[in-house]
Amino acid sequence: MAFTGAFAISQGYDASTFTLTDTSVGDDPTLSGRQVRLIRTDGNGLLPAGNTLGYIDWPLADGTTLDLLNILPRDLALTVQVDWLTDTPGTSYEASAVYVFKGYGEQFDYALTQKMAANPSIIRDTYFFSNKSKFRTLLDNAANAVLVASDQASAQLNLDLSYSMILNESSLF
Amino acid sequence: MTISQIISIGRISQFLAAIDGYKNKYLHGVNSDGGDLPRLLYMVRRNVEYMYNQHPAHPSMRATANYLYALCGRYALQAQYLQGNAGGVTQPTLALATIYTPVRIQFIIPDSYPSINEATPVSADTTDLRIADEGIQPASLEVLLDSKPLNIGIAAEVSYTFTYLSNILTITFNQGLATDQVLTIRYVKATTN
Repeated sequence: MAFTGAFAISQGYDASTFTLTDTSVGDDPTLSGRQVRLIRTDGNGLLPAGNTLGYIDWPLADGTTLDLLNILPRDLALTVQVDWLTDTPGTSYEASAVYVFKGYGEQFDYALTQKMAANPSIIRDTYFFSNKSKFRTLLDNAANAVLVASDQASAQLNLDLSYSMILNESSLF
Repeated sequence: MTISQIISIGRISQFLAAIDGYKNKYLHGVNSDGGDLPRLLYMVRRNVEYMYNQHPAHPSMRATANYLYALCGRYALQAQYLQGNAGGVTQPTLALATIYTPVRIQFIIPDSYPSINEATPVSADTTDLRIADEGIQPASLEVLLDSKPLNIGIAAEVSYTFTYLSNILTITFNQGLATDQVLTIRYVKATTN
């Protein structure tokens, strides 16, 4: 069966970390390595601290999962590209997709709900409810931009706005 | 109530509140006392759902879930009914009704036990009459001969005794009945449904 490169991404409670899982099917005896590239909307790559390769090495011998720890400084929309290299010059396999990582925003939003649970009357504050609603909308927009249209730029725009709200928490909430 | 159940109730309550809001033209804007409850339920439910999926042991998990349940208010019970999961509410069980039905059997006493017409339960040459029926109320039994009620256990006149065992009513006359007399048996039977 011919080789087809594929992968999946999952993010847990730690918003700075996510996991790549190789879900490729088929076989190619000439496969020799894997490389991961995380590409931001400005075209720059996102790399772990100290990485000077320009990509993230994911050796085949490391198995089918790769935990990228502490790699996300904030919520980002990224194009994730995985290349499967072969011993045959000029031949490789590639798979890529746009992903939204919004764990920071989700946890910030949850903290707002914690505030509400502790002090229910806070939703009557002048801006609290409307700003929380706006924040939720930005997170949903980011997810929908990718889900519906793989629109990385729009997703990132919404995440930038939500990030700005997080930075201005004291005045908005 | 589990966190998962509360999340599910929150999801349904959101739609119930939205329907109610539109029906009553009750959406006043997000910051008034009338509030945008559907939106509030959505936001809080999403938060609780996120944390439950990512970190169910989070220290505030129960508190925020209870807050969500409290926000559901009067919609919570309705949501549970819609789920077919009304916690703590017992569906009433209909009590079985007893129906009493009067029964009347009447026939003319033949010369002898009719081998052809076995539906006639007694003849002039017999003294026992048997009726198979369920739920006969013995106290309601009446036996009439030519439209005259017969007494029970009077030796000096035509009378009868009876037993009712295993759904068989046995009436025993103290003497043979005369041909062509009209015998009427009346009783009440009880059935349940």
